[in-house]
Amino acid sequence: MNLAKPDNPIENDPFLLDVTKLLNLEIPQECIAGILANMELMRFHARKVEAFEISDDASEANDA
Amino acid sequence: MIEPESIIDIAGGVRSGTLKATELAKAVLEDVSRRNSVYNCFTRVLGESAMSAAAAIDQQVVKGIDPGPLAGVPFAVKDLVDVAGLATTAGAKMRIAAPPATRDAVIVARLKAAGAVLIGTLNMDEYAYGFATVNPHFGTTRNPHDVDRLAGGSSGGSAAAVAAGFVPLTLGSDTNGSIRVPASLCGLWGIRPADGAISVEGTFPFVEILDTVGPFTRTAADLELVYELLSGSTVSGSTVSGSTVSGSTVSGSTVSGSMGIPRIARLDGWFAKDACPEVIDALDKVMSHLGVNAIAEMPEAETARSASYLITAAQGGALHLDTMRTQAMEYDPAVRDRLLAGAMLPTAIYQNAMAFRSFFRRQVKTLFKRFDILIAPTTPVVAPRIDQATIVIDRKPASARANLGIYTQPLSLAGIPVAAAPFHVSSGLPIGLQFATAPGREAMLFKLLRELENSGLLKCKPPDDLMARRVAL
Repeated sequence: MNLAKPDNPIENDPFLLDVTKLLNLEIPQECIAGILANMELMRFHARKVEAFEISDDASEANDA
Repeated sequence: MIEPESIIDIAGGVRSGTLKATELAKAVLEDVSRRNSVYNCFTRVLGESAMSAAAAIDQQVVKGIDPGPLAGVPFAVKDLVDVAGLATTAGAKMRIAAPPATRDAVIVARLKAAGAVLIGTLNMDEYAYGFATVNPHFGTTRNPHDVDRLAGGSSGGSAAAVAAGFVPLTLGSDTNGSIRVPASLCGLWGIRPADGAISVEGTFPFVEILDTVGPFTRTAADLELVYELLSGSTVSGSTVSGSTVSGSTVSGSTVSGSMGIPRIARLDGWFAKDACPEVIDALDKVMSHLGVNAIAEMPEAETARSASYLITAAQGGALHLDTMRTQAMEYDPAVRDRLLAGAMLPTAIYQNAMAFRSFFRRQVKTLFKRFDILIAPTTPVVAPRIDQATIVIDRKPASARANLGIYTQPLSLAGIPVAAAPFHVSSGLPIGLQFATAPGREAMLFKLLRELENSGLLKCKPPDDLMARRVAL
């Protein structure tokens, strides 16, 4: 079943669709642009923290 | 602006009978009634209860009873702090009709027990999620040094109320920098205490593991006095006598550490990047005055900022999820969209950020084996204009409001005590410096702050129009 709706980016994104269903959130149309902009910022910060994971082990080893 | 300016002098006058608490309270209430519309600091003014509390203080003095170290000191609180009988709005329209608090927050009770007189509640960013105090329900709080500029946030009402000269003491909260950022933009002293050092009981939560509460004042000595009273600890033992503070429900931190010569360094790397020339100049002057040229690098400070951002979004989103299911459209749109995005943040990302937090706190602890006090800018710029959308970060335009906390967020994640100190640049606008220390070394921190204040280098100055008015009088 194709749930995609051209005017609703969240419903076009399988991951976001799952999350909103899981959270039982009905996202008002007015919020979508703002949410997506904020999610992009969060991805930016998440990449920085994810990149650190590699050096975390190394730092622990150095501490030891 | 009431005279004298400092809390210690006001309380001294009231305790000795040379000042009347009722006259002070009356003067503050009249001043707020006359000028608050210019700055929009106060959301509610508690005239009747303030006059009644002030009269009780005067009565105690007449009877020879010491009202306490804050006798008659007028104060006000950010509108996320419980005041018995009032709804705690947390800056949200949807909470105006919330059930009233049944008792005062611990920090309010402690100040009242020390003789302080509560004047009212103060504006903030909705649910403390912002650095601007641009609130669609309660209006924008304006910077008393230039009313076309931001006061900072989220405790902007708390900072502006002190800077505008309404009261000498306010309380705010600091999760990611919400005391330090407005203290910087409004030119005040403030402190984000170490995690757990001051009770948050009776305050509206935002991010449980980052939330702290603390004071704004006009002098470093006042900051130390109020910190002692709020934390239930004795920092130096030199400023508080005859304290009648009771009902301590939280064990205060022990801060009587070694008082030797502090090992001081300037934070480099992330904390030097993007700072405007005025901030760098302020740091240069302080370091030169101290005769210190040590530089320290806080490892992974940039990542710490990102982790703090993610933890805030995720925990804030989780806290508000139930309410957003039914009342999403009643939120400030800017806050709502961030909270919704935070609620949808995958758990794995949140867990990464939390794992990083543990690592980072260990690294910072290690750094304090080599140093006692670390100095850094509070904000990268002086107060942006209210209509100014961007500042330059990483040589690119970036949201002014989202980036005012780039230097405060990493220190929040570390959970350490950080004071904000005022410096005035040549333009007349203030800018803040952060002085961070390890938990337990607050005595050393306050001693240094008082020395720098006495030198005249770091000082809270009233806005020019208040100075002019005082000269005219």
